[in-house]
Amino acid sequence: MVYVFALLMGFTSIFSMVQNSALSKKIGLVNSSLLNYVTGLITATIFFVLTGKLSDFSGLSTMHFFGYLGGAIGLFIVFSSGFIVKNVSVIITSMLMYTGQMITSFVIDYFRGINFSPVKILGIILVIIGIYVNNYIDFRSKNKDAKAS
Amino acid sequence: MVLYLNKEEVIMYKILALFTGSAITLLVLSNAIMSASVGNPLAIVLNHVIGLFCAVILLVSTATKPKSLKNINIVYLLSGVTGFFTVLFANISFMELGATITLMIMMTGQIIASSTIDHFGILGMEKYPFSKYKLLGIFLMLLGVSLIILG
Repeated sequence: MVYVFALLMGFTSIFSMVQNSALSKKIGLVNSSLLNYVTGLITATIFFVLTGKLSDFSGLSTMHFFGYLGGAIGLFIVFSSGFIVKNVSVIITSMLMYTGQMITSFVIDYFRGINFSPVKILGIILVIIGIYVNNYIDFRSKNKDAKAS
Repeated sequence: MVLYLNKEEVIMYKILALFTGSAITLLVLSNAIMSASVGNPLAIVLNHVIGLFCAVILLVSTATKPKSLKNINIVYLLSGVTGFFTVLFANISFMELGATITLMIMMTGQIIASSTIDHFGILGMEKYPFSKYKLLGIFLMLLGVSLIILG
């Protein structure tokens, strides 16, 4: 089930990126970022009312400070991806983001001491090859389009 | 490709894209740390409160004028709702699977989503028809994900 969540996360992350980009074209990046957090906060609050507990707040006292930075990092992502997609195609943007994501995730797992079975490592390598094959094909077909027009 | 930007500008956007990718992973890590401390529901609320706070600072510091939301497609207006689900799914996956496997499966989802958006030009994005050669890449990714799940 958790694998399904990870896959859905792929869909929603691209979809929200495109939504934000479209919205920023209409009302500007700052306004669209603000609206993005307002609607997100409303949704999150409903979710908390339905499933959360007030006692959850007590965990904040022991939390590592890096936990607080999420909102700020998120804003950077919303802001910069809206900015990039307006100027570079979705697929090129995605490819570069993938590279940044992968390098960072290897580093994080390494420091968290997470080990992978040989089969999982093979799977990871296949996914990476697949990503670049896809993007290479996209890159070529789009270059051809651009030259033709 | 983009023809109206000069080379330096395009490279700058590409470097920014690389950093944004890195930031996505750091965001997932940050959210997972908070989620481990206070639980998923509260973590997502606080995450959005902090983000909103930053956005307000940005709004004030850039003296941006609010714009009317009339005549804007409701799907665009609800980007934050989609974002909420991204954080929710990310926190659950990261805790159970770690960063690399979460991202590998997420990327497979992203390729499928972005190919679909490119092919149909969904939400006003430019249309790039799906090339059948891409099935090779998608096949490799799905095979990889299968091995990750089974391995």
